[in-house]
Amino acid sequence: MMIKKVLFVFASVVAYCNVASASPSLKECEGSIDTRISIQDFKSCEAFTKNKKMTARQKAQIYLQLGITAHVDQYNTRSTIFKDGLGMHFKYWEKAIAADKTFVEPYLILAATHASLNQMDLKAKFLKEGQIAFPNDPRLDSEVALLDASPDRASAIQEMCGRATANGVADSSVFYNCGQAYWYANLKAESEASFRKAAFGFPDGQSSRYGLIAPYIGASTYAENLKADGKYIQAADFLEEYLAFKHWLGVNYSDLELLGDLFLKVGKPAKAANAFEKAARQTDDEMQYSLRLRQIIGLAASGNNDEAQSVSAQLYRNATKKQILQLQLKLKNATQKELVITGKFDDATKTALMECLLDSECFMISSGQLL
Amino acid sequence: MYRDERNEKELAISEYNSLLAFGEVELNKVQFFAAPYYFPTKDFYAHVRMDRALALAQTNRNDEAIVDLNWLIERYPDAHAPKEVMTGILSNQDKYAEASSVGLEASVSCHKNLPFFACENTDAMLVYSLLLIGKNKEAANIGVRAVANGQNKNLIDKSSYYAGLAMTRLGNIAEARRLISAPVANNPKYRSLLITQLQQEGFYEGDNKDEMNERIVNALEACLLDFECLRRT
Repeated sequence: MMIKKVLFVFASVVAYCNVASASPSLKECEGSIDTRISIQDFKSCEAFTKNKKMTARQKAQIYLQLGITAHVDQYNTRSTIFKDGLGMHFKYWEKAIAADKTFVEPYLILAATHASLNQMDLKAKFLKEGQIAFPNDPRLDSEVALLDASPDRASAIQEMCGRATANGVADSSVFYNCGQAYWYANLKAESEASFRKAAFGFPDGQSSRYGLIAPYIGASTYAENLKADGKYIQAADFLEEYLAFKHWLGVNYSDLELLGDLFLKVGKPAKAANAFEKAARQTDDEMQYSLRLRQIIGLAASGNNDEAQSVSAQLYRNATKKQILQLQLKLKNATQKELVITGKFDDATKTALMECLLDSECFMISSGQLL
Repeated sequence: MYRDERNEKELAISEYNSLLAFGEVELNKVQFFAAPYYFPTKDFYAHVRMDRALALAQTNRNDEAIVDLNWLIERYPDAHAPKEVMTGILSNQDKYAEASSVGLEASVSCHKNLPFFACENTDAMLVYSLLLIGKNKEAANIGVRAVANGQNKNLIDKSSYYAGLAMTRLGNIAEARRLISAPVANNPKYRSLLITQLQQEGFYEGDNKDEMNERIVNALEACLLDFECLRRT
């Protein structure tokens, strides 16, 4: 009986160990566009690449996964598994290309990763090599179109982007890239159409490729382009439409901040106040101050003085001494010459702030400084 | 010395080397006129070494200058000039603790033996190095004394500015305002230094070559009331 019990315990431990250290299957090591292998499976998956029965594509997919794992580990957890240190991910991705030249993903990932490190020459190198191997890949075409985009290259851009966006592309980045390439090529109508497709043609929640390359929409980029051209009304309209489409709070605060600034510029202070208010709700204390300040400006400029006072009282109750000093300084430098700098949000400062926000001369002088 | 005054420092150093090669005994037979307030000794050999040390320091040959200065300090421990030059070298090498220690000795020697104006440079350098090692009270006291008794406008501005910074760290805002405002209003160098600091702290938007204006005065006021602003200088 005793021997039976000991054998049972031993068998249980062996079974547990087998489950705990179960090797990943070949399929798991190949991964997919939505999944990547875990750091624990790295060594086991690497062993598959030495198996002579592997097809070229299988080897390439495993190398791609190993590179992704190395990359994520390097930048996130920094475990000690990779003794060779930085750059391991590039080596695996280059091995993936060497194993199967008909596999497009390593080119895209290499280009995106080098771009994120501001190594634009290497980004261009891998995109161009990829484009030679895959002359009709829409992602490569759109990326190459954006490289050195200028009016001189307008016809090449039209050709590449025409091809890239012709058929059902499942990635908004293609339209974003082409929108930006058309913009630089001075093809404004094509640019708008492409940016519109990126902004409105895709549902929310496109998953990023391997958790690495997020599809880019770039609505704010287009709005910034229009703003830089002095087309504030168009920029505000486009961004407002996009944010309504994205249901406001599902978007980045910086998009809302840009919209608020555009509304202030086009003389829609109430809408600006609304945008800044929404932006402020999404962000941390440091940005809160600047956003709330602009909200107050919007409220005061739209005649909503009570709310402006209420928000400012709330804002400066929580402000640091330095922020109050900076405010007093700016008010004094504008038109509130009598204000005494104290570092306290006293009655004189409250009055001066409201007077300044309602006085066009003070507002004009100080708004650049206040923000 | 003629080459030295014409700013031909390397040639001057070479001439000093040739002179010093005659040796101490031979050189000390030379009769000469010694400037009464800088290095008042009749030892010609020591004078040449002092001049060479200064020329070496001015050409950034600090290690060679320090050899001469150490010899001079050992031979004339009561003279302030070698210690003053040594203070400057140590400050430039960011060795502020050592600089202030030597500088303090130089200042004491100088004030013991010479009229106040001869010690202004020593004191101004000392205020700066004391401030940088956090001896704010000492920096402020020496600076205030230098401002009250000095004659050289540039050195008064220097002592005043750094003593003002020391005062901010001591929490004496009124004295800090007085000591900083004067050099900033009168001297573009200290105005530029202050503006750079005000810009970094987000209190001034403008150029550090701006003429004195009301916005600088306002920004200084805000900065003085901010606990951190001038304490980070």
